[in-house]
Amino acid sequence: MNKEVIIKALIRNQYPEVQASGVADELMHIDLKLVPLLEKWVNQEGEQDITVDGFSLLSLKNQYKMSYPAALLSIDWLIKEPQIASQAIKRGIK
Amino acid sequence: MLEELEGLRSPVNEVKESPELSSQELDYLKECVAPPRPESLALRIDEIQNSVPPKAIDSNPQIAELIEPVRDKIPSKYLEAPTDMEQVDQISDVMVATKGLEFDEWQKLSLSERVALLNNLEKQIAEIEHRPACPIYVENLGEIREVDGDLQGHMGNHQTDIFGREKIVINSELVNSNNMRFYNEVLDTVVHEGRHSYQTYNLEQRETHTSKGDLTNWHINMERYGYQSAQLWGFKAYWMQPIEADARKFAEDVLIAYKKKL
Repeated sequence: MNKEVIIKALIRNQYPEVQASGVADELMHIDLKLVPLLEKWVNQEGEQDITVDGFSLLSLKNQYKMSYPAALLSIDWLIKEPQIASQAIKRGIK
Repeated sequence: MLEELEGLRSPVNEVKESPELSSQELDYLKECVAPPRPESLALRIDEIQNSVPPKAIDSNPQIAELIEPVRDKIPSKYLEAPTDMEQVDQISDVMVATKGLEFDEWQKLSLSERVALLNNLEKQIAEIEHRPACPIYVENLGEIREVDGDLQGHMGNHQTDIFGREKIVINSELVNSNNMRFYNEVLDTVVHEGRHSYQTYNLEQRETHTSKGDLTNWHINMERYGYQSAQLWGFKAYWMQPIEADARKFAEDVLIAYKKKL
């Protein structure tokens, strides 16, 4: 997926420009399983849910008031480093 | 969590050796030592050191020696902070000595008494950390869920507005509860958010922290993309960034020391 297209979608969703570039870098490397979900979101075709290790993407998004891409990156972390990621997520935000 | 970071991106401090002070500079400073005029003394030292942000006024050994006789009259926010280990020790001592903070006593307090107690604790922590205290507010930051012994949710945050005014917010669900896990989380969150205030003070106001390595990490964290909130970056970037890792470790160390001393 083209980085510029992702950046445009992030900026369209209220991301500050400087942060959009960094987040797009992260999104360029998400697990292949998650790419169709990202494409759908970028193309404004909706927000699809997925559950990994008992964590639902949309539940995370709602509970922590995350953007969809931020929740997607959190699920990506759960796929790649399940133990550390689930420990971190279980401790919440402060 | 650090929020509303407008103005938090400070210029990178120039690294300078402490140069030998000239006799004129020493005389200029001595005028404020006897009789002691701490505010003017700090201003003059900042003028001579010419750092952005200014360094702790006693970071130059020659100046430290000069101000030694009036050191106890100088507000701590101008002076080098204790090391992290010393801060952990002193904060845990203060927590042990704070009436009402132990769980058995905490349970008997009303919400307003709890908030007053936390504000009093934050004032003492700020004094130890050589920074101004933040007011603590209790607000509804959403549901806290207890899952397999862990608490999930938004525990609190540290906010700085565009005028540089800071505040600490703790989730009302935590402060209202008589559940021991929630109580532990309140203590952890107060220390954690206070550490963010300490980081902010060091990045924006004055370098009082003694570890240059930590300061560099915090600068890089804030300079590259700015604070990486979980809301925009997801959990990994939020969790891994130096500012959060440092606050997490510091609060954990304080809580461990506190429990050992009870």
